[in-house]
Amino acid sequence: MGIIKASKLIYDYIRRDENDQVEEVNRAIDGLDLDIKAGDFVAVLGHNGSGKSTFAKQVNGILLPTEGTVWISGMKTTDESRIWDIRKTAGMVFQNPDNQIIGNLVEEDVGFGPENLGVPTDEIWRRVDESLEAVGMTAYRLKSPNKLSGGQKQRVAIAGVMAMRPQCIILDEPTAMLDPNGRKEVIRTVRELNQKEGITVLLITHYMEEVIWADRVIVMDDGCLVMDGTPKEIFSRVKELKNYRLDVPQVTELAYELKQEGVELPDGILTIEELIEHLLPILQTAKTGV
Amino acid sequence: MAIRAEHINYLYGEGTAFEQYALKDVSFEIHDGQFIGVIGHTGSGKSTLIQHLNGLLRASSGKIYYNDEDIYQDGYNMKLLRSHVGLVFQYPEHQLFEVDVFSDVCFGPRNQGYSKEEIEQRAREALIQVGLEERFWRQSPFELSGGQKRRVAIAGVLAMQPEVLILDEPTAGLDPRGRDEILEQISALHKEKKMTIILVSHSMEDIARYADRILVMSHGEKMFDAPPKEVFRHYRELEQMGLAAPQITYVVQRLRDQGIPLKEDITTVEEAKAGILELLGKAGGEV
Repeated sequence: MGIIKASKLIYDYIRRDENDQVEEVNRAIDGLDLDIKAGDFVAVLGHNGSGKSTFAKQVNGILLPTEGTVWISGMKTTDESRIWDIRKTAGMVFQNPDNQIIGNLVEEDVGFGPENLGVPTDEIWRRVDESLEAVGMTAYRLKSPNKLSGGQKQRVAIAGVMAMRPQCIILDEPTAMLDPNGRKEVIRTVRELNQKEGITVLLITHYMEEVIWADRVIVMDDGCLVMDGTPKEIFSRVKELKNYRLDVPQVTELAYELKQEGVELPDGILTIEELIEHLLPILQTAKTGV
Repeated sequence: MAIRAEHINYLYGEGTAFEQYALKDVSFEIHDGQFIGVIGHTGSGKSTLIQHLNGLLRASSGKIYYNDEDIYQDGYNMKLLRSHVGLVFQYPEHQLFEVDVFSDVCFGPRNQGYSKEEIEQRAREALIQVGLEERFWRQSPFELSGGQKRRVAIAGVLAMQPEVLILDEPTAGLDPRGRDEILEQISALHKEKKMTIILVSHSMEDIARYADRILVMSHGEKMFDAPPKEVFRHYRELEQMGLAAPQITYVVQRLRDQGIPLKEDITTVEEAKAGILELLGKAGGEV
């Protein structure tokens, strides 16, 4: 069993009227089976309403299954006695940095999590140091979070989660509100945590360019898992992705379009470098008229 | 001419130790029927700037003219200005509050004092313009998906029938299809209704695709004011400002550096495809 495992997971949003009678049932997750290996960087794609965020909230017990089971590091999320252990194991970062920052100073904000867990003071400061270092925000520790850019705020939010020493971080569209630099900063930070600290990452995003670094990409639609593979495998299936209201990075789209016109390129090109590597010889040959 | 801004300065905390320029000597003209993209890093002054254009914020100094009338002159009708210049904020769905979609969209024109028939007519038109099917009109806005809520909020502004529509990051948090649908509808308002559009976005790809002209803001100052092709040619300077060019621009630049004679000003997938196919001597090279 991996660090995150879901078996036959079903989740219904249930609306009740004043008399507590069920008025409407909305199935957000419909029989999801998933096993995520510790240390993996997993990206989750899916259109609005596909069940991605609902799934993310299952992972640290914010929501509990209607049917089926979710295990985090072998702990069932329905086991109330373990809920704090579960939340320590799996930390969450949300979309809007302004909704998650509470401290007057960056260092206080990062220390808030471990303080709530009852960690001794010395240990809190040690963790604050390490976490700020890990996200590259040490220079800002005595600044007010209000004065930071969006990308910096998100890195502080990530440090706050790191300070709880999780094994796994779930990020629900962490870059949706950021400018291009902020997006790069946050993704670089997340990749480093994954590679250097071995943190398992579950990244939910609508930006296809952020997905190319993942070990594994899963696509959700109507509460089910519909595609599962490496970025290369997933982005080779351009038409299918578009059917799921998704997209591919611009380079992938260009390569795909050229291929449709008979240009000999491999499937699933993900980066600018790859495209240049394959396209340049073709264009050079054409130029010299061979 | 729609909007003219002359030497606008906007200071936060004026006269205190925390005095800081949010806008510094910004001037520009926006003509009727243009589609303007506004880009800039977080904190560059984009949102502050657009809130000046319908008088929500008042410049510390400088002048703004709407259809050649100074909006800061005594007796200027700000309320009327706000119905001509519609502003859709970031995450506008957070401002939905009515019991159903239709009533929410009626709120704006009702405040403008129109008759019941006129209000409902405008609300219907606006909802059709944003492509929200009629079966959703009597639902609570809170039961809709993110993309649908966003459309209701945009319809709420459209129902006031503005001449200029300003949107602050209208696609943030939407899935790719939702993003394309909203942008296509905005583009249709621009083309069919000749509405002047001012679009603030962090997506260089979207801006490259839709805008005729881009204003680039950095640290409260206007750095560029030119068509997308012109602006994205300065991608190195844009990067210095925390921005970037569309991914395609980088591909084309790299190929050009290797001596491939592609046009320098390519910014979209379609243009790159056409350019490359032309070099390869393949049919279908035209856009």
